[in-house]
Amino acid sequence: MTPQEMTEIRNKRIMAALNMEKPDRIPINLSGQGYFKWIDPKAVLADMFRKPKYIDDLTLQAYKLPIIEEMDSAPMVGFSSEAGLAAFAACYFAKIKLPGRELPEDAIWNIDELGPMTEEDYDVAIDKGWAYLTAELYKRIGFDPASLPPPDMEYMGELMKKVAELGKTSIGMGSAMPMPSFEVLSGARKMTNFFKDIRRMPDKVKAVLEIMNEETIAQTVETVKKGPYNPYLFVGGTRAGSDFISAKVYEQFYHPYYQKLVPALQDINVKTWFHNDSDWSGFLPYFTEFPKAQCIFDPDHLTPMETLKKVLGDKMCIEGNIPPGLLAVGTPDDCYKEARRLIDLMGDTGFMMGVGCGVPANAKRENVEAIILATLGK
Amino acid sequence: MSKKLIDAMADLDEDLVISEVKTLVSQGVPALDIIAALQEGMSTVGKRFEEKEYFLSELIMSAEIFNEASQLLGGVGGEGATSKYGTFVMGTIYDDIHDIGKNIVTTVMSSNGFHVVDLGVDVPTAKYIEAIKQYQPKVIGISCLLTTAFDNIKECIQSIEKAGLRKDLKILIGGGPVDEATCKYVGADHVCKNAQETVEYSKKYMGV
Ligand code: B12
Repeated sequence: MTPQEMTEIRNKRIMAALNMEKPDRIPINLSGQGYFKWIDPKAVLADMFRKPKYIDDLTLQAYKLPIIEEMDSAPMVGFSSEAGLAAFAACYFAKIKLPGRELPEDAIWNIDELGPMTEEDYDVAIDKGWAYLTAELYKRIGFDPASLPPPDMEYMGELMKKVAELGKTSIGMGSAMPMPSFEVLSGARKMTNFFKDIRRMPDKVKAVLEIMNEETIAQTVETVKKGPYNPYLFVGGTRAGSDFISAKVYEQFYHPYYQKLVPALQDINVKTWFHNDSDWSGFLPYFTEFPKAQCIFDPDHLTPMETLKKVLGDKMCIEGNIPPGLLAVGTPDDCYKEARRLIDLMGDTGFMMGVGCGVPANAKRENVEAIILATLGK
Repeated sequence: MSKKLIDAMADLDEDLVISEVKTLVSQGVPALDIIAALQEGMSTVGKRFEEKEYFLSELIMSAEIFNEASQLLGGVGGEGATSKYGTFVMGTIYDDIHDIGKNIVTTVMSSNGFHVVDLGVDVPTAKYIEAIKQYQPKVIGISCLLTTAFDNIKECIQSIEKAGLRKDLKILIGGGPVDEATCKYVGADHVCKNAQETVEYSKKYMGV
């Protein structure tokens, strides 16, 4: 079979799951950042930034290992540049710290929150818009998007060819990352200040969130229309959850973003991929208002799959949800059993096998293999 | 005891807490009495959390307000602080900077009457060892949210043991991805899922 044919099968498989139809088998979405170590055990996380091309190459090799090659998702390559991470951190107005520079050789990269926004800035955003304030805040943290080195297009082209040869699917990535306004504002103010703001000046916070929602969603739609078509768009959320905030706060300050985003994406034929860390069980009922098979829910290990199945099981595809700690310190037997338990619970329709948030950089190869084998029914 | 201060703390009214503490200090009310009022307010916060009237965001805010107020009094965890229940040393393990959970646990412990020594985040083994020698706690806590730092906890615990400091010491761990399997892997005594469990475990172990 050619790689293109393989990709077609995998695309079909994943689309069936996402559309709540029965796929030929349960899709396996287990991409992670540390697979290069399986090829060169001496390689460390600092090498991701020192020798990114070497690390990309090792990662591609890891994807061809027996059993691992059964994974449907595309490898995480081409990401390990300081510029890329700096841009990601800037979404939260944070700075990036790198292994081998500020951190030990084999530590995971770090987001150092700066919280540059002041209480007075709420008025600036109301008067001049969120984009204006964002530029101001970037100046304050010393981040200049224009000064980022442009991506090496020639290398990226070569890399994409190599990825294509693996015959994977890249459904779900998309060309924009529309972080919910609640998350962005929480980063801009720093979490504790933001929670205090909600208590002390709820109307002002709401006004700014509304402005941000408008601007972000319009810009996202614009970017998605211009970029290569992807049927799903990934939306991250980590600073809320029903353990973090009350339903009242969620309803007024967070959920309106999703209520605007989902239909805006639906209008351009794109579905929403919710990636939500922390415990969201108490808020899941709010997600039932979205049309069937228009979204997917991809939680971390703190939202129990039982609850997801019960509340959202007949509404949207659910991905997950092996705990990351299990991949790092558990045995292959533990991982196999947990994967089987999930399959028995979730069934084969509207479910994708995955790990809470992402496969950790110190996941054991045998453990990832065990999950794949369990999903293949071997 | 100042009912105004207790209520302000329980209602997370930061400005009122600060101004009330200042007033009480200027009236010559002993620091210990003021702290007792803050602790009383914090226990209401804890109750409201259990009753799901408050959430983690409120606990996070209460931790900050409580700490800010106790700074005005020279800190609850300061040198020579007296405590009903003994000392609890805690930090986030090296290479990890997550501090939200740690701050909640340390604050809930001090508002429950423990003398808390907060070592901060990204804490190297040497600092834990130094603190154990200095304060001789019966219980210490290591917070960790990164699976890539599990080996660091393991190293830290082994070093504490090698230094001969493990004998009467219980080592608790906690943080999002930490579970029983992690506990076994790193050689800790117990995992706590939240701050309240930490209080209960420590009270029980310290014979309170
Ligand atoms: C907020 C957050 C951040 C913030 C941290 C802000 C801060 N000042 O702490 C920011 C954005 C900076 C951040 C950065 C990163 N994060 Co982060 N983060 C989170 C998140 C969403 C919530 C953590 C939190 O504060 N929860 C709320 C508190 C109250 O809960 P808690 O910490 O668990 O604490 C409670 C209990 O566990 C217990 N407890 C905690 N510690 C202890 C200790 C003892 C002794 C005891 C008894 C009890 C106890 O009591 C607390 C109160 O109930 C989690 C998701 C999750 N599911 O945990 C990810 C998470 C921890 N992050 C993760 C990662 C990977 C990162 C990054 C590496 C970047 C990235 N790739 O996303 C960086 C690196 C940070 C570093 N080097 O330290 C992963 C870690 C998993 C893994 N693979 O190892 C998580 C689990 C997300 C995920 N599901 O993958 N993060």
